[in-house]
Amino acid sequence: MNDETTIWQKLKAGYLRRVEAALATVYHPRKQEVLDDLSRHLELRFDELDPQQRTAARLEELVEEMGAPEEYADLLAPEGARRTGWPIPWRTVYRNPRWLALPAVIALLVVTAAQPGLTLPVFRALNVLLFMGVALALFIQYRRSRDNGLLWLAGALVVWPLLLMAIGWQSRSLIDRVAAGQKVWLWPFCLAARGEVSLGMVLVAVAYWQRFVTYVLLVVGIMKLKLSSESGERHLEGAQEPNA
Amino acid sequence: MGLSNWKTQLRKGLLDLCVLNFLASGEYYGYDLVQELKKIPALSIREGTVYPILARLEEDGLVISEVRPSDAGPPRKYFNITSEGRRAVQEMNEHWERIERAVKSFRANPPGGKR
Repeated sequence: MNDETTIWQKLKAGYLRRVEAALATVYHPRKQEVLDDLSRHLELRFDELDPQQRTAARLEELVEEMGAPEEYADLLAPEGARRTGWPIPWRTVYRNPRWLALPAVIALLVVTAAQPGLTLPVFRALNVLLFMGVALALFIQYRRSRDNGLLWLAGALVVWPLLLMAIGWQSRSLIDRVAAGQKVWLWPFCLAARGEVSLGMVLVAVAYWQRFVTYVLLVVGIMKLKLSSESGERHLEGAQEPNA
Repeated sequence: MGLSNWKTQLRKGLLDLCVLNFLASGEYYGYDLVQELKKIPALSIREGTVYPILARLEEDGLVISEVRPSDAGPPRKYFNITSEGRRAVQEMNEHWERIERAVKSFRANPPGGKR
């Protein structure tokens, strides 16, 4: 593969990735088809260039001529048929049975509320399922959009809770030691062991501290989310219209 | 709403109309269709933007496509209008003409304006 072809493949892949990211929030059954069509169109444009015309600058120009990736979302799914949030279009539910998981969870909650004996094990299982669901959803969305905000959200909703689970196990043994009047070196449990503060106060402080870290990670994640639909609208408003 | 945004919205609305009218005149493959649409400067079409429109029209049953091998270069995807598409474009054209006439008449004789 010569230099021009390598440059071209990189430019083409980069453009298609940008389009894919711009379409990440759009539900449309022909989304992949659009990407295939664009790939085919770009190949055609490259093929029709004379070898001496295949300079890096010309190839970049060729990709630029394709248009802003942000524009695709509006053209593929104008007002109403886009966005990943509520309301979920019926067509989407029909084509993506995974959305049926939500009514299933609600039904389970109703059943466990009616039969209190089932509540504890069912809720434990639901927690694990929902945790795995959150992790999977974040992974899928990140793979589609490469949005760094999702990494921070994964930190808050997946990694940090796992760490907290490990911290929780450690805390339990420390609490037992404090309660048994044994020596503890780890702060802030050592304060309770020395009688400077109550064990209850230590637990409340630890809970606040854990929640603080969660909120910081969530805020950073939300602030860093690209919110591609919004940026697309801004782009359409600001750019475009060479004839204007 | 900024002037640029207004133009963009108008252009987007007209793209469907233009694409369907071109397809009503015969079969096109994507690249060919883009070249034809580029001849209308007011649309300021970018090369790639025709594909999401075609995908949407195909999903709505107004257009069908077929990928065929090509002697020169990669395979080509040909687009044709369906009978439903023909009905839709006829209705769209009539609607467009009604709007055009109404706007022209309104601009010539603005309500309350001096004649």
